[in-house]
Amino acid sequence: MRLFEYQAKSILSEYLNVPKGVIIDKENVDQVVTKLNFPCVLKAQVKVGGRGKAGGVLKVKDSNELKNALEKLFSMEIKGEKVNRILAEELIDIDRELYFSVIFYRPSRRYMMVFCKEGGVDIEQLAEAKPDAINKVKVDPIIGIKDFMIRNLIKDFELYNILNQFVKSAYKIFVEKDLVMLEINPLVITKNKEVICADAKVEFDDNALYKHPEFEAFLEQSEIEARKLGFSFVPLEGDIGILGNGAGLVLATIDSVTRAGGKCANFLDIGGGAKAERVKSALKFLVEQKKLKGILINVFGGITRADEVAKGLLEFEEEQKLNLPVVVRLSGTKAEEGLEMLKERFEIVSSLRDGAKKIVELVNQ
Amino acid sequence: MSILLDKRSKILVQGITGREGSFHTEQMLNYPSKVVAGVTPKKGGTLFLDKVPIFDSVEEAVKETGANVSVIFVPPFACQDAIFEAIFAKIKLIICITEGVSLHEMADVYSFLKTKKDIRLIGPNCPGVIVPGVCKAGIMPANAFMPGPVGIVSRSGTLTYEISYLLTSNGIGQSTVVGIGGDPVIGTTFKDVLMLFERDSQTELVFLIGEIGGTDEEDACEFIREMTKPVVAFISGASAPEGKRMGHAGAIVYGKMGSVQSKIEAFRSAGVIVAESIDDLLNIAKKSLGVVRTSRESKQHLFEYYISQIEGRDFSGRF
Repeated sequence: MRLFEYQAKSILSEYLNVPKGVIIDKENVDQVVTKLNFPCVLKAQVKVGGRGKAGGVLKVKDSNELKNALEKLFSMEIKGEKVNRILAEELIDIDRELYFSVIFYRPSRRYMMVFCKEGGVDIEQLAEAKPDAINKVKVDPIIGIKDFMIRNLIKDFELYNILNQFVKSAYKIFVEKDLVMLEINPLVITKNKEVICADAKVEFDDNALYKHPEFEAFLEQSEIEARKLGFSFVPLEGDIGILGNGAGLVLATIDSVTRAGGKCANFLDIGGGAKAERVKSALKFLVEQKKLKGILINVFGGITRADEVAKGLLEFEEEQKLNLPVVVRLSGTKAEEGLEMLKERFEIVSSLRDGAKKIVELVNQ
Repeated sequence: MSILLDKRSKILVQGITGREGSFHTEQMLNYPSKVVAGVTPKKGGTLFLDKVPIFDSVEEAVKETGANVSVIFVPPFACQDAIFEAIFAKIKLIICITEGVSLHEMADVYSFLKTKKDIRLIGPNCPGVIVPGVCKAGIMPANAFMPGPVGIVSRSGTLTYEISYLLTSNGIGQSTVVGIGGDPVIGTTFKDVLMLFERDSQTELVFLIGEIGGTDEEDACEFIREMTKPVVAFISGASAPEGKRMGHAGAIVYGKMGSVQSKIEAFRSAGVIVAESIDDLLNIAKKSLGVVRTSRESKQHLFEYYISQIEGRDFSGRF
């Protein structure tokens, strides 16, 4: 789960310095505005990169400028994301801008700390142009972080003295809060040698949510809904609804439909061990999302039982008559039982390829 | 012969009395696999299905039954504990089915396991291992598999069933099928399993089923170059929209690694044939097994044969 900047900063502020700020949404503008000190900076809260370049960060001198700036930001859309919240922060007295991040490094299953003396810039471009400017150090989770690693990371003794505690605290947050990524860009050193996280990007490990009730407040309504229902859903551009079990199989199903000339409307993985109730709610969620021309169901039972899937499908159909073609392919655990239940009501196919062909054919009729 | 499991494998189930644990233990027993013990703390001394003894701890279960393979079905919050319990009880093969184990907990397990060369973890979030007709330690539907020459290693559970079933229904069996799981931290990788298949006398052809994300496919290529057995790969998710990007920090660390394109390129340069679709896998299997059986030619000859089979196809627009 990716967090908004203001959420990330509220997590970081437990151990690190962040600028003082308030969050403004459309409803609380009048109350918040009276609390602001000027000058300040307004930052649109979106979960995509490139916000600054898109004009999502504005400096304001006084309350006259504030009104216009707020209006401008609230009407913005940055890379398809609407701006619903704005973070207003005090200006900080910048002496140096640096770059720091910790991420989970998948190839070696370790953590990796990344540091660069040139922060605040487009770090991706810098990484391409001057790869040597970027220092990386791997950290074994069992050993944790040691001073020599920080020295190897910073490669500058003056900065090392200023940043040692910062790096240790940032690493501590990364581990304690179950983060997958923590990026501070720019990391600011003020004229008083204070270390401040001027911006922060944080991605949290969804699997660890049960350990961190503090993150639950950060979930969006739609995320809470999908989580409660227990499946993963990604909307796509097309008109053929897809329901399957297991990410790999759903991806392959989408690949097959695409190859057969169809366009999929979504990715929907009902997850492992889904019972009839979950299948029913997944279908309901699917048909509510957009106008579909057909649905392809591809379930290969393992831990999921195909008869439960069939039961969910029948229950759904009884409640809500479906006036569109539904092609079903069931295999694996309890598939015979499932197919027996469905054979008179739905189009049954025996392979994924046939299913993809059939649904594309029916949709195009 | 087979890899990882054989007819002497004695299986222990951690979490045998839970909903998934009990259902799949029964399926395993019917396969028939030798499930010799179960572990559920506080339920020690009772029997599962009137025949499998349940113990309070893995240590006790191993001492009493000689179990050497553990299949873990405990919920995510108890999973790291269960894996460590199995490691400390010296179980040699630990298969973790549980989905949703936290990243940092698995990173700790992985780091510790690096110091234990004789213990192998498969998973988490995987379907397990099956040696068709001999032993099943996991959750795969038995009817999708039959004994034969194709070794399969896969990151995706359901896709594995799909592909095995397609082979089986066309008369091509499998030597061993290993689901390694799709999580960011898994115990056993493609490369580890390929090394085992390379040495396995029953395996004539290896299927590697990957997906977008991660770099295990790329990492395996170094070993594939040295293999004498032909490897055919399939990557799912080619038509999926670009997923959530890792942002700058991820981008500067990973570069282009992990994309479909990067995987395909790595495979091609290692001499792996990349199948266009699941049906394509079947066709390649039919042809290459024919060649393997009739001529027993060198690896180089096989690859030349493959290339001749796929000539004229347009690779550029494939992904």
